[in-house]
Amino acid sequence: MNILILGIGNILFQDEGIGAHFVHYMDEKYEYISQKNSVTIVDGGTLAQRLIPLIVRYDYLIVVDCIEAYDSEPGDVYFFDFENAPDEINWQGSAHEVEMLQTLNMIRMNGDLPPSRVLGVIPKRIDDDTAFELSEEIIAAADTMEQTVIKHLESLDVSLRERNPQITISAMAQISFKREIVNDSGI
Amino acid sequence: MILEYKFEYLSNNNTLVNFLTNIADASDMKFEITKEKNEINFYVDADEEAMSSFASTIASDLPMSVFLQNTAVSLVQEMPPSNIQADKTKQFNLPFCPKCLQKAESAESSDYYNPFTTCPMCCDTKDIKEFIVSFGDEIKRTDAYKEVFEDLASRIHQGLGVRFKTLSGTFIFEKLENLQEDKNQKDIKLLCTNLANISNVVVAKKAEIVALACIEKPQMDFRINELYKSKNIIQAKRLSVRYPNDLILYLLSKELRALGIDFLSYKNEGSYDINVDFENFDAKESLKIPKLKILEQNRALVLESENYDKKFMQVFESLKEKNKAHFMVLLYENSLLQKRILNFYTSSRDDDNVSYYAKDLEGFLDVLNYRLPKSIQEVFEDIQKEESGERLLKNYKNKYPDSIKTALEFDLSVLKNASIVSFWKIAESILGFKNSILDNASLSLLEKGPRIDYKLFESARIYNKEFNYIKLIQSGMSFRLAGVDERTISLGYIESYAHFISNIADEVNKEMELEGISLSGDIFADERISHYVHKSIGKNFKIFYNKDFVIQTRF
Repeated sequence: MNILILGIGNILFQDEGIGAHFVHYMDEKYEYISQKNSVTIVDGGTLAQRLIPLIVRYDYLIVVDCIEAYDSEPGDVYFFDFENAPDEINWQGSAHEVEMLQTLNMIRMNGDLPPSRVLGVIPKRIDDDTAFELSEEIIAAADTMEQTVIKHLESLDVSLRERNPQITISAMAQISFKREIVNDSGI
Repeated sequence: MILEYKFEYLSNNNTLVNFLTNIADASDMKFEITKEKNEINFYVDADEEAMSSFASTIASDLPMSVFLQNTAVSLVQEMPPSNIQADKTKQFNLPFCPKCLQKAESAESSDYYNPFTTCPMCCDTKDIKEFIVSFGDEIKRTDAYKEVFEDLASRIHQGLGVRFKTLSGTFIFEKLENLQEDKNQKDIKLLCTNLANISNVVVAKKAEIVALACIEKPQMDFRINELYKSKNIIQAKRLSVRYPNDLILYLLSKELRALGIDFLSYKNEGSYDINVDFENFDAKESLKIPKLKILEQNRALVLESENYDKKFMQVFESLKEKNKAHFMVLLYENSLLQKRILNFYTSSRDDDNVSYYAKDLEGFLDVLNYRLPKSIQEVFEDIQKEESGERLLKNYKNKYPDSIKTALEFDLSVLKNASIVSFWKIAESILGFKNSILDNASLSLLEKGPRIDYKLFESARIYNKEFNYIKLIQSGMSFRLAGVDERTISLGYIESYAHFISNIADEVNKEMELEGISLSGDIFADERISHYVHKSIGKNFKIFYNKDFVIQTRF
């Protein structure tokens, strides 16, 4: 099975770039080992519908993005099946989040959407200068996100080996815009 | 036994067929030649002993060509009849070939050091009998060529300038160290006398060095090596380099090499100390020096040349718009008139265009054109209308007030072409860049830059789309605000442009099922752009370029 971990987000707006930063972080920190499956990591940025031809090539999808949810706090992490999203998820965040939802729905309507999980985190939305700094809440949430992905991949027979244990999510946020993904199966 | 030599040759010229024919004729071999698109197959029928000897002959006498991509040899059962013949009706007018080099370099040869040796492959110089060397009041006619070359090399070594008539025209040569750089001079021209040491002055890849020595003997632009630049002999960033393309310069270079001189600078006019001339040469027949670019894929792009089939000029002149004219010539050169092709014309001198061709279309379909804003003020006003644009502009004004002020002084009426290069110039101005985006990107050591937005205005149509330049500017401003440096942002502009091309190709492909993408215009000769474009679309589409015709005309 070919698994795609797709990070979404606008890195120019602090926490709203966490999806992209997080997949770079996971790409830098780990290599992915499995007899049966392959893992590809993609920084999808804000490409939305342009990601359709990519997504449909995979058998399993994990989307990492910001989300909005009722009664939630910045830094709360949600991990759910896209087809059975919890009721409190409202998808009404920033433009790129709405576009991503539309994109997944379009693929689903065509019957091409692989089994998909969403790893969502509530961002701290601030109107400030453009910067790559993340909020403390999101930095703390990255730990939970990391453990969630590891656990889920293990359930899919994928084990992770540390490549660069020193890397932190804050450090990665400063360089992800110019970093090339390593775990790219080239499918 | 029959051997099949397979050549992948990306040119419509007859040079390879002529050489193969003459080499086979000289060895009295039975042969046939067939040509199908880019494949030239050369069949030779002989016994094993003759075949073995011929293999050595072909290896030594067949020159390398910039258009030759791959070769293979295999044993076959049958020899198909030729479908192409050597053109024996006209002089080939080529630089020296391995055969005449053997004659001029062999001490046993009667043509030893004779720069005017005659060879059926190359320039016919048999009527030239001597040099006329003028030094001060002294004028000497001589055919003691070896002595002349030794003497001239020694005088150049001493620092004198020598005006030489060559088969490509008359030039003044001198030691590189003596170069008086003229700020108005567009390009500095160098003759590399020793390719083994070319990297002492410029940054050259192996494929580029090989290209300089190929039968075409092209002129190519190179970036100056940082170590040499630090010597402050040359201020220019780029140098136009070639290798000797006739035996006059080749034999002179041999003597210069012995004196440790690896480069000469040359120019068309100026002062000199010695003049070297010869008679009985029709300047109209002079050897043209093509200007080429070798892409990462070892593909040669022709930047300047007159060595193309003149019927293509008629095709070119039949269309008013340059982008369409280039596209049409490209379709002819690659025999694509029955195919569905999308062409990207990206130029530093003309309007850009993306257009689609298919046999059943009566003409071309314009997919995308560009419209330039009238002023920087208009750009800022448009940014303010965008979501979060007002905040972005306010932050940018606070942080970079000088850039805003300078940008507002930029008179956009100087931008004559509706092209992506013009938009990059607008971005450079607003972002306060010291260098151009293209120059910056070429110097960046990174492989990946930030994602710059290249977007089109929403439209259900597949044709006549309009480019949303505001996003292009906005994203650059955002990355600058985030602290990203000029060179890295520039790389993002170049890399993202390649993705933009790829996205347009994918969109059109969904509707039209493309059979290939063609690239024309001088911007595609830029190394970085070419690298990213091939990376972005090379997997999904076959990419075509002009073959012998220039990638962009200068007229």
